[in-house]
Amino acid sequence: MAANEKAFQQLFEKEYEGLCRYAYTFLHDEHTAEDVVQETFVKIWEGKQALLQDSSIRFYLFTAVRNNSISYLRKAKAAATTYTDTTPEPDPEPSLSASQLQHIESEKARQIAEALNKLPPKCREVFLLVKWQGLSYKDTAATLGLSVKTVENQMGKALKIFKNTAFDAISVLLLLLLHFIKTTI
Amino acid sequence: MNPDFYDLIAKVLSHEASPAETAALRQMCAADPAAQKAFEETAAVWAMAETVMPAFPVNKAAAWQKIQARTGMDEGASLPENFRKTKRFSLPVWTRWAAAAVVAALGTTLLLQQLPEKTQTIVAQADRQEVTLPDGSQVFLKKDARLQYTTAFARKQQRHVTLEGEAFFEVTKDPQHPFTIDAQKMRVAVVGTSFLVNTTAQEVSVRTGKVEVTQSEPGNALLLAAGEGVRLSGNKLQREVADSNDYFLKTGRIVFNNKSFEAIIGDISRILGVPVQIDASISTAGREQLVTYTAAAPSAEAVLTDLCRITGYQWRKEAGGYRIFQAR
Repeated sequence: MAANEKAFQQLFEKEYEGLCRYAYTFLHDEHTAEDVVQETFVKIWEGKQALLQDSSIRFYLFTAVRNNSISYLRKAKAAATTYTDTTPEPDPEPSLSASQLQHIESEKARQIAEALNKLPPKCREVFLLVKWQGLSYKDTAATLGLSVKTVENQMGKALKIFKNTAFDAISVLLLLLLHFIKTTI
Repeated sequence: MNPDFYDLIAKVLSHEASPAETAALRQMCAADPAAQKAFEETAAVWAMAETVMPAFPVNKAAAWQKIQARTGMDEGASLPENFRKTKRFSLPVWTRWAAAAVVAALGTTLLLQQLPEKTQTIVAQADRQEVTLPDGSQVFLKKDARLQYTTAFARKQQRHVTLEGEAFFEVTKDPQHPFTIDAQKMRVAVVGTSFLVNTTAQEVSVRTGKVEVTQSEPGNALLLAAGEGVRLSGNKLQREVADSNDYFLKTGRIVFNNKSFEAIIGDISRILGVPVQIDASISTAGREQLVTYTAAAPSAEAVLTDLCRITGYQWRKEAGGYRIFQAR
């Protein structure tokens, strides 16, 4: 097998699921999310094979999936509505869907997920890329077109708000466990 | 609490922090129980955010086949057996919670209690890098200087550091706990002063207070007052007058009063760490002319431009440094 095909296959194996999850935070539909990610892989194979061996491929994939998800939403919206003015729509923002929230069984976990959803949009997007997708600050900054300094600030802001809203939900259970673990170590 | 506190926590938790930043957070937590509590709570929430990540069950094999069909890739390039089917385990919710809690507890315990038992090493990435020690003492490092201290320092049991390279110290006063520096062949002991230590040139210069310098072998000692310096020359401690440029790491100022042009260029090469050559086109009289010049936080090129304006020479960049020459 050609080296490119092998690299392509490994990339697919490693990133497909995470990318689907990322696309889903925009699209809130499993089939559409998979379609968008598959389309992105096809486009990489057709036009960007040179990138396969490049260390920036991960950043490129997330950026492409983000852009393709947003443009999918724009097209779907344009098809369904008639604009009366030319004001550009704001960027769609990633979030947990209502059905995802419903599927969380534990009440506490749902409170955490809701706290996550209540973060300011830019904060939430940065936080999800770093925490869920494991992107570095550098790649997150490049994907979202921000400076690394801004990513640092948004992460700090997100953690502070998230801690203040979510910690109450888990504090009792967790402090007991923390105490238990510390005294037994 | 410092507004950047959470920025720092976020960096440490997402493994983006430099060793110096991790050390800074550790210091904040050691110094302030409220900070320690905030950090533990944030680390717990951080671990919890993992548990609510939605599952996204995908059929990778089917997806791969679709991509293959659309790209016209070799049909033989199928996925290895082991990931044709994506297996999904559905563990009870409480196991995820327990796991996250253990990770959070172990993480904070390790980060803040075990790691401090190790040696903290700071290697300066740039000139005049500023480090604040656990006792509040400040150190201004020259690029590549290496400063080490153990956690005994953080617990204020022993104010002791090891230095390799050049650094300016501003030591907080604490007569109960002398501050000592291992500077390779010299040992420096103070109570609360400011001074420069350079292990490359084997010298110490005192700006304020008193400093005791001891030679490692054979153990001779000298007590220095403000404005005095010492250099280890051969195997002898030699008393000198401190040069005002010895405080550059702290002040960022370079000062020359009626000094020969040649000596100034030598000092600038050393202080700013960039080789500057005087070209053969410059006469002996030109090299010996006396120049008075002061600059604050200068770049090498800004200093060269100023000096050339004073002397009428010109400079150019060349491989590995700069050259000053007389234009024809």
